[in-house]
Amino acid sequence: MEKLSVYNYICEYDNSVMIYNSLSGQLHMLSKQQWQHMDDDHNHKMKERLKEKGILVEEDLDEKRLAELKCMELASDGVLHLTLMPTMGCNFRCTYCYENHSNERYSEQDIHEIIQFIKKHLGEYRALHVDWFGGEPLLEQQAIEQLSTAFIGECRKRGKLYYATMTTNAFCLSDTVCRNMIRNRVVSFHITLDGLASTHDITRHTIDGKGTFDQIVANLRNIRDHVNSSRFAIIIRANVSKANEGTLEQYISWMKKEFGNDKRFKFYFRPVGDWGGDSVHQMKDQLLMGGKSIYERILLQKESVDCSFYVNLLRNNFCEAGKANAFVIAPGTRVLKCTCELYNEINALGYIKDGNLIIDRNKLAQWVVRPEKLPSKCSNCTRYASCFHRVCPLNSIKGKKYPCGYDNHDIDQILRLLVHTNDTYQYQFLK
Amino acid sequence: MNRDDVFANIRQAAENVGVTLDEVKECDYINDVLSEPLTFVAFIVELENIYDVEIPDEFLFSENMETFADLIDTVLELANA
Repeated sequence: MEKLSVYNYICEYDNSVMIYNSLSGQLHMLSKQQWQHMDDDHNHKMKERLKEKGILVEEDLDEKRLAELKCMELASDGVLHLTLMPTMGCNFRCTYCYENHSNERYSEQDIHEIIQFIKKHLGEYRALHVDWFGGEPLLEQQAIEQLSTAFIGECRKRGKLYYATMTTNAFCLSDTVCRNMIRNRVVSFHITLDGLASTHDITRHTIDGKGTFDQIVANLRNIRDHVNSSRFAIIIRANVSKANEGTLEQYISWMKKEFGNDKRFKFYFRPVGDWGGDSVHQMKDQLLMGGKSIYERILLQKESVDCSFYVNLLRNNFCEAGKANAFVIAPGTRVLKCTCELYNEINALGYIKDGNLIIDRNKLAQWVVRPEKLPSKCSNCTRYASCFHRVCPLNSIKGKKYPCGYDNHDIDQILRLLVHTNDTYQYQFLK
Repeated sequence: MNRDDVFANIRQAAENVGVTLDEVKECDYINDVLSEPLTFVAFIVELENIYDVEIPDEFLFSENMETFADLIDTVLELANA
């Protein structure tokens, strides 16, 4: 006998029912009629499909235990995740940025220490993932080249997987630089466009206040037209505030026309929130409470852009900072746990010396080990098996109200968005 | 080592990264089945480990390796070098 999984989140969309299972990360769509008559004998094939997706499970299956196993595996996935900050400097001065834009950058000694650390400790992991972050990482391309060459070499020598991702403002991401980064195994670039030029240039301008939209778009067009590789993705994030919310439809139409036919480009919309720092206080009136209004607007668009990136939210919301094997390395080989609140004492774990992490393990434990007693709402939450109360360990440490899943309040809209905007997703996940 | 052996190992390397190539033929495009960039990079590492060869970085660009036949040629060339 089968039963419905305790991790099914069910919502309606037009005449259909969408079922999202947080343990398997799968989504399935049925007509309301199919859903109501699921127990009929002739629905054997459909039931098999639902079983494959973990939506229907054996009656005696202990799903809660499986969820804890998934949590343990995510917390220590055997991959060494390093967020490398080759510089804290940036050529932009975004109005909402929480960083202080100091001139600190990796020294030759820092680069040497990081390479030594990899040489000494790579054997303990099955793969190495580097996320290039900053400041603006592409201001330090030489350091990226030097480190990437060493990482690729070390991983090859030991038959281990190496891959990188990069968060960049894309001002320096010419097609030539993009090709170099692909050679350096960067598989995805996360860039930000805050709407069209009229809104983007207000929030994301250069140090001397000049607009950046035209340069970024010129770079993206060159990549689209001249980089003949499908081994990378460009994830374009739009931070949406009250200032640019009104032009969202025009922005999406323009994006669709420019990049909508290139499968390497994916799109992602986020409400501007308070991630710390002082700058955000000056735009308090502009902040949106959650993303509901954004997603509703996108859903009203007849044609939209590829939003399949949101699938990641369904699979897991486990913050990297909560993983035992994830570290941020700032200039001076300062070892941190989180890319927010860079100068908070609890974030300062230690440093690298002679190829070893010299860190405060008590602090590490505060980031990695979950509170013994989880909030009571977790025990019956259908989305627990993607959230695990690990969305923001920093808030937990600070004793703040803990966020409940990533975009948890907007889950219905996100599920609809996935169905509405992406054929591939429908093909792979809904059938 | 013949083309069939290499193709069998390519299938195995893909299987190791969670992609089934049972229906795939030599003339098929790699991008059609290994479209996710991270999966592709992981697949190349698996293949390098099977043959103890280094697949050059230039093959990260589609123009240099479009089909499975191109990949088989490359592996044969590298393994026999």
